[in-house]
Amino acid sequence: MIIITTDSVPGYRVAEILGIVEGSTVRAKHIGRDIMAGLKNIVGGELKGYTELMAEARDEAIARLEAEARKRGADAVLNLRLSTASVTGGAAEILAYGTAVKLDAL
Amino acid sequence: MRFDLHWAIRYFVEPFTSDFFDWKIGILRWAGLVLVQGAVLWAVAYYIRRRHVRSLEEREAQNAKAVKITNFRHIPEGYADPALVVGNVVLGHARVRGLSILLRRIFGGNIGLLEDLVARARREAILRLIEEAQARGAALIVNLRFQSFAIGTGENGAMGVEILASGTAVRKAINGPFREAGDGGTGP
Repeated sequence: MIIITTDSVPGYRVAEILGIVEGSTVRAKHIGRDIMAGLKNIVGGELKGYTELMAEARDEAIARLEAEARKRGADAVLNLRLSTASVTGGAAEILAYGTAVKLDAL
Repeated sequence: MRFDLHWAIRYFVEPFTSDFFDWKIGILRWAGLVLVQGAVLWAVAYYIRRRHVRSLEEREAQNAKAVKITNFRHIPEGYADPALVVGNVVLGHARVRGLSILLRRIFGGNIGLLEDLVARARREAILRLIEEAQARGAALIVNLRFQSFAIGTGENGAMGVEILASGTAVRKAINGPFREAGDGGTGP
């Protein structure tokens, strides 16, 4: 499935708009990672545990979005947006949303 | 002299227990310990920042020109096979250097430490975005967006800042805007 952040796909025409699809997830790392991040925080630098956390959460949200789009019979999701909210310390909600469409080759 | 646990107990505890020493010496020794610790951590923080800046400079010199980045909303003519690319990084500032933040919040002004942190995080996120696009063989990134997010929020502020750069990577079309059969693209 084509999942992109632009309004159009080169070489294709939007045949039918199926509507908004979304996928979201709230994730946390185990407490050991939180403690290690707290220690790393003393001297600064990349908090790798949290970088991983956000990447995993994003992949999960996009996978759920894709599953929903597939269920509706979409060919592509256009104009994908990602947004983040803090739910509790050390956890993040990621929401991915976009417009599911059916495509026709030009 | 051996600097072991036995020595440490004698050096830091004895001034408070024996009649031979003044307790003020004990206080001074503890203060010295805190200062030495602070200096070591400060040096480590400085080294980590320096190493990151060097790595950024090296990678930017290597692949800054490989992929062009735009924030156009539409894919220009002559490009095909779009795909989502993202680059993210979570950076934390050094707490041992946090005094400057406190002072700035009292007197106002630019908080250089945090400006530097966010700028470095953004450069890193762009580099990861470019590296991902390059791995796909893309020539252009369309509709670049930045997002930032304070992660690990607690009673004494956030632990780090996440910068997420996302966009659509496209390849140069060999034969007009149409997709070539079997070009490894992810078709609908």
